[in-house]
Amino acid sequence: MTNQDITVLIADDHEIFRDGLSLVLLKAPGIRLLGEAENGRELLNLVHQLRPDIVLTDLKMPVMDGIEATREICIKYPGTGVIALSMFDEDEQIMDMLEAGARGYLLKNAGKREIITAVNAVYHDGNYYCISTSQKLAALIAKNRSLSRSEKMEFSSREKEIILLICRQFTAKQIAGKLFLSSRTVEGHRTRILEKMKVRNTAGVVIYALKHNLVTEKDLLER
Amino acid sequence: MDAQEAKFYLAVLAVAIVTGIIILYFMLSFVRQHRRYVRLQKERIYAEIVTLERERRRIASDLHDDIGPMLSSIKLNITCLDTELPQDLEIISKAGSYIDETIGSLRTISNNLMPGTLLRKGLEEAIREFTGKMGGPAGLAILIEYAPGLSLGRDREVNLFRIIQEIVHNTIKHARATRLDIHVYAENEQLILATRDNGQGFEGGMYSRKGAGLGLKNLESRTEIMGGRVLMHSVPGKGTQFYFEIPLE
Repeated sequence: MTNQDITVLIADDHEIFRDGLSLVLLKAPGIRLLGEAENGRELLNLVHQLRPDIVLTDLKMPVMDGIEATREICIKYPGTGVIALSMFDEDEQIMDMLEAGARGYLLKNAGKREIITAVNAVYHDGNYYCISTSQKLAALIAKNRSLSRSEKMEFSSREKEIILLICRQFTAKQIAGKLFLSSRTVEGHRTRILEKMKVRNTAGVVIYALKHNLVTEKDLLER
Repeated sequence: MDAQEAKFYLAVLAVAIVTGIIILYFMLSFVRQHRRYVRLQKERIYAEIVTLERERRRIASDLHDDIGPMLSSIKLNITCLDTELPQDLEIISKAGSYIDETIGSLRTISNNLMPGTLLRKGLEEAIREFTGKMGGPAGLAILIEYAPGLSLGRDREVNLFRIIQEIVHNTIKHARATRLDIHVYAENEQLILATRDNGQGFEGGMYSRKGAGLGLKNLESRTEIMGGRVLMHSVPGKGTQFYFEIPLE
């Protein structure tokens, strides 16, 4: 453990889930788990005492929910990045969390690697949107002006073609087939696109593309 | 007429009056009994539906709020196993995807029991979500016109949602339609739900079949407990129409 470790707090009202999550974080290199809270009020107290870099918090909790806690953390402790944890089909609450200041969100069945990626992304001043972000949620996030600020980059027409196909959830292999390119070339383009957009996964690409009008919501539905 | 004869007629008259009173009494009490029975029946159906919806809501939220995080936690625990063995890594990744599938089913079950959208965003969004999911795969274009600003209250919304669900299911299962129109609007203090499909229609017989009959009964009960009425019109080859009128206190 070094001083450069990213310090993390977690909050969830289910002890079993906290145990699972803390197991992942305790084993992750470069991350130090500072503590656990079972509701928003406890979380606020811990944030005040420990000033963590990152908070991973559930949405629905007794006493004080994650949305209210996030709002307060983001105002009082701007150095702390909040990542929301949600079950499936909670799109609107996820939006509430993002509007309250959360910089990313994860579905609770995210894997170990994704959790660690998200913590790192948000720590390094980015946003993180879960791999399984629904297109509906991507559109909601893209529509919201205050979220996901990013400068507009120039893309070649080939890249634009690939962006559109990524947004329609095609895999690199399928895209290669459609555009008569090799999978490796498509992978190369994809990596460059992710770099230019400063995003980590397909969800990030969809949100960026919608936000900068590279694709429209209607484009997403056609296949 | 002598006194004897007069006495006889008087006696007959008295007997007739008494018999009449008795018959009238029985008739009245029969009518009263019947009314009471109908009222009790209605109350029973109402209680049944209320209980049913309450239980559905409870089970859906238990699955979503309790079982979901537990499954996620199992996945997190498994993925934390340290191993370099390819076979073990494969087992871990397989177990992880099984848990994802289980969570997926949980989501479907919980949503079928009680759509989260209905509770959080109301009837219109819930219908749009439901019809969006159902229509496409069945080759049925579902058009919804929903008047803005209707305030229905949760119970009524749940009942109307179930009615629409039933109609959409029936249309997909029996109607062979390519288009279903659903209109929801208010008119003269009444909420109107009107649907029309372009399917094969039927001659009254379809709903008397086993299984389908229960569906129509369900529509009636749900309409009845909202104090409304339902009209159905179907012509073979010309589709089926439903028209619901529900008072909007």
